[in-house]
Amino acid sequence: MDKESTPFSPNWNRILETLEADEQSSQDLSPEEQLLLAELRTLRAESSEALNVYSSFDTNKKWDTLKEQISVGVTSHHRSKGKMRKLWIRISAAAAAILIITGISLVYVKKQQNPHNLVNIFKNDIAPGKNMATLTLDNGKKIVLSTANKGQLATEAGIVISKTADGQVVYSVSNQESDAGTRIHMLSTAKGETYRLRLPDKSEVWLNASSSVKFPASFASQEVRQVEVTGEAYFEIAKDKAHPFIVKTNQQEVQVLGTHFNINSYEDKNNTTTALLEGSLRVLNNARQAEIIRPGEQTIVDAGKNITISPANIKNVMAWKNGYFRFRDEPIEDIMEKIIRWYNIDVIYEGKVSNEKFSGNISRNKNISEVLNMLSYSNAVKFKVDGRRVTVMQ
Amino acid sequence: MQVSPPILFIFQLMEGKDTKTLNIDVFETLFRTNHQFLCMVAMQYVQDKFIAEDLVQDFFIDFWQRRHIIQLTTGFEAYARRAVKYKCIDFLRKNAVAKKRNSMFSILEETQMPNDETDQEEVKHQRYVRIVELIHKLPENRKNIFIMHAVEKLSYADIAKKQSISVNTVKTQLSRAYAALRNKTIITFIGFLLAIARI
Repeated sequence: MDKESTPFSPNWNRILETLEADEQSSQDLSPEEQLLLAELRTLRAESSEALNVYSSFDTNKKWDTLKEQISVGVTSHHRSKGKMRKLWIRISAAAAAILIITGISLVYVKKQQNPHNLVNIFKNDIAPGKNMATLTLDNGKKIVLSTANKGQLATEAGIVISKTADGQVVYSVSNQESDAGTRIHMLSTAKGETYRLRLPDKSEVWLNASSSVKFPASFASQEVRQVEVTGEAYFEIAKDKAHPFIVKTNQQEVQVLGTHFNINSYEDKNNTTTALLEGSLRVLNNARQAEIIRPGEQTIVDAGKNITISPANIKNVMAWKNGYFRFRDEPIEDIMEKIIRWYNIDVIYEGKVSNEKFSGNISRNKNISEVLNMLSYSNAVKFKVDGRRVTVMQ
Repeated sequence: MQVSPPILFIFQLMEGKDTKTLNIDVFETLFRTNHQFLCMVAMQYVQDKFIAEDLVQDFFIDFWQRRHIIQLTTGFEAYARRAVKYKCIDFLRKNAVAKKRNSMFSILEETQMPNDETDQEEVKHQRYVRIVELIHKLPENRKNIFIMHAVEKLSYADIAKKQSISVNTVKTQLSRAYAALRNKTIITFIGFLLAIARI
């Protein structure tokens, strides 16, 4: 038994000895062994804490208390067999009603989310958004992109647009055509759509719902790489010091070198927020004021005002691209805006709108009923869904 | 698909059989075997020892009072875990102070809640439940040796003496115990890190 093959190549005996002695110097251990030792120490400490919590519950005492409470019931059980029959009759009379309720609750119990919540009314459910977009070529031709079609989508002027197996749209230049740079293409998403595109220079852009990005078929002959965005997009720009990358929206222009950032310029907000994850970025507003920001920061551009810089909540900003909704302390109207775009719905507010602030995370790939059930769990809002219309009530 | 208590109730009635009812001795065994573990399950949600114990107590009382009706199709432990979880969620819902928990959304009060602390407590207790489960799955001897080593903090020599085995055997048993815990908790460890980073 001592010569058992151990799951690891490190010398367990040495590690366990060091663990036992809890020596400060573990220099005769290899780096992997040291790592393992650290893990084992953590496991040991946590196990100890866990077991301490476990044994802190006094089962004996609790049983004694419980036994006292139910001992009355035990003796009456033997007498109550007759009552059982009466009970059975009463219950079977109600069984029909219970069956109906059970049938309804089965629909909600299915995903085991929240079987107690029958507060919302769903005449129908609404599926989440999809990976879908429309590519409009410079000659006006529109190609619908989805996970369905694969392979080559279009060829023109030496540019090949193809779709990889995992759904990414890739641009490649098959031969140098001097006017490729003037051919402007546009990728756009409607409500309920999102897409990811690789640009001719290998930069990547993710588009949220109701957004678009315009770009030239080739960046080759240009001094700057320029694109135009509406709505919300996240970029990972390929480094190219010689050719700065510029993103224009109607309120600002962003210049970057090699960088990861998110731009939110939805019109319902009347301002544009740009959050930087990596690299460096310069924002220029229409009044030609400029600010440079560092990773973890964001700028807000509002017409007629100075550019403001503030710390960015990167997790909130990146949530959509990573496939979920994430809110911290937000009013219901802001949350509903995001839901409107993703689920392609209309929203009506009935009665007084709750002032409560909401926080939470939920995957974007769920039906709307799950998202709304989660929101209403807080008791601050209730919903009714009928067709594509959602009513928000208190 | 998981079936909730009301549906079990219906199936039982439909059959029209008289239940083989639970007697108090069997109930006591169920209680003693599962009590501490269920309290730990409750701690994941409520983080207060006394509230956790009370909720588990409520569960057992309910279960006893409905023993004529309930016939379990899954094992008791699985049923009890779910029932205790729902009791906790229900409790938190009714509780005036909103805390972040198993459900996704909550209301933040005017005064900012220390969310990080609550998150960490939750995650910590989730890990504890996992660890306790894994330790209990170890073979009897190995489990005892591990507990002597981790909790009572006995030396290898002392453990060897107590168990009447050699120090080498102690080390082998420990290395297997650690291996079992390590393999399965690595995944939860990553989950722990992710939860802390709140991705």
